[in-house]
Amino acid sequence: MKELMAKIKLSEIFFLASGLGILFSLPWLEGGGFSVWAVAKAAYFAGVILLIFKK
Amino acid sequence: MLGITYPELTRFLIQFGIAVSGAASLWGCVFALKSRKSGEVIYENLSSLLMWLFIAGFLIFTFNWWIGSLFLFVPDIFAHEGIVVRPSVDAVLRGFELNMPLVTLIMLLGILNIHWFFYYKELWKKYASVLWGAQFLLFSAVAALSAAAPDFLSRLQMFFTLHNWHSILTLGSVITVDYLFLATFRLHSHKKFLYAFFPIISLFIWIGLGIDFLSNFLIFEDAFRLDDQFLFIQTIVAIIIINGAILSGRINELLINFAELAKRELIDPLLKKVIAVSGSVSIVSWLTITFMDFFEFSAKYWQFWGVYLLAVVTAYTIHGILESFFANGEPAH
Repeated sequence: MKELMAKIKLSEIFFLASGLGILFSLPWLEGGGFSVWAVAKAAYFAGVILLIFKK
Repeated sequence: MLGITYPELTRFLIQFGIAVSGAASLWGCVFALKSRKSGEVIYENLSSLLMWLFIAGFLIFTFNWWIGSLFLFVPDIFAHEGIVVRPSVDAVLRGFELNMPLVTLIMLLGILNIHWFFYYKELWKKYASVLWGAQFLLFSAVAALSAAAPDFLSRLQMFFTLHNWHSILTLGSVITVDYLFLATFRLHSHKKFLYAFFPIISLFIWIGLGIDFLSNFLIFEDAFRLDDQFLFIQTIVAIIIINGAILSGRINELLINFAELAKRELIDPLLKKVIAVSGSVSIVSWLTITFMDFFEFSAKYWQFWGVYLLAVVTAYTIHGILESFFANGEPAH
């Protein structure tokens, strides 16, 4: 299990931020706010680009 | 609450068949090319193993496509964002019309592929990459044209094309990974080669979800609708991303290490459970958002959760049964 916690990649941080961002933006979405949601989506694309470059 | 009708179910099965057989063709082609380049027979075996997955997807696709083309319907098409776009009757009719020759070609090529695989194995090995590659391109074209807007360069058409095509990279590839993982359970000599490919397949899955996000931005302004189904789908998308970020990459690395060191017996039982849970969450989540594309449910948010959790527990149980089944007996090498 220890191995699972080791070596965090930058792309994983962006993906995690994206997933959590989408999750926590849901109450704002209900209120009509899209900024957190949009930033979370942007973080996702950043994660994909980083993954392509093996970061 | 249960807004499932037969025509919509047929349309989901067409998409499911495209995703599975398209992904089997894509990765079959990759393994066949890798085999030709490296001369390693294990890649050829992996390409052969994918024939069974292809046949399953091929049968589901062809059967349901003909049912769908004979009993035409116009369901709502949902993106994974829960954003609704209603294709006109003409768009769906044009899709079936455009796809008729392509589906006929897919059937002929698929039958040729299966026939050579069982009766002319040497010939099949020689042309496997070409057959798989051609099938992948044809399935991609069918997915892209399954709904055709009047203007081929419109944002709506781009949405239809990208949204329907990305399932090959996402749902289809997730099923391919799970299938190959189980199919090579006792083939220890194959694991080193297969697991080394998992990060590449994962990258394609991430890119596939990105393509879906892009397709949704194209129609977001016109088609966005906020309801419990949208919020639940968003939650599942977040779960897919978090599950992938926290676990998939690490699990891939660990599997590669274990396969290289040939010390599978040293895998921590807790870690094995984590792998099984992560895999179950992944496959159920992808199936959930693809399935919900085709239906409009009036269920509450917590009711969606109830069904989803039940599906994850079921998938986890099935995974355990299959793992015990494949683990029994002597290693096949």
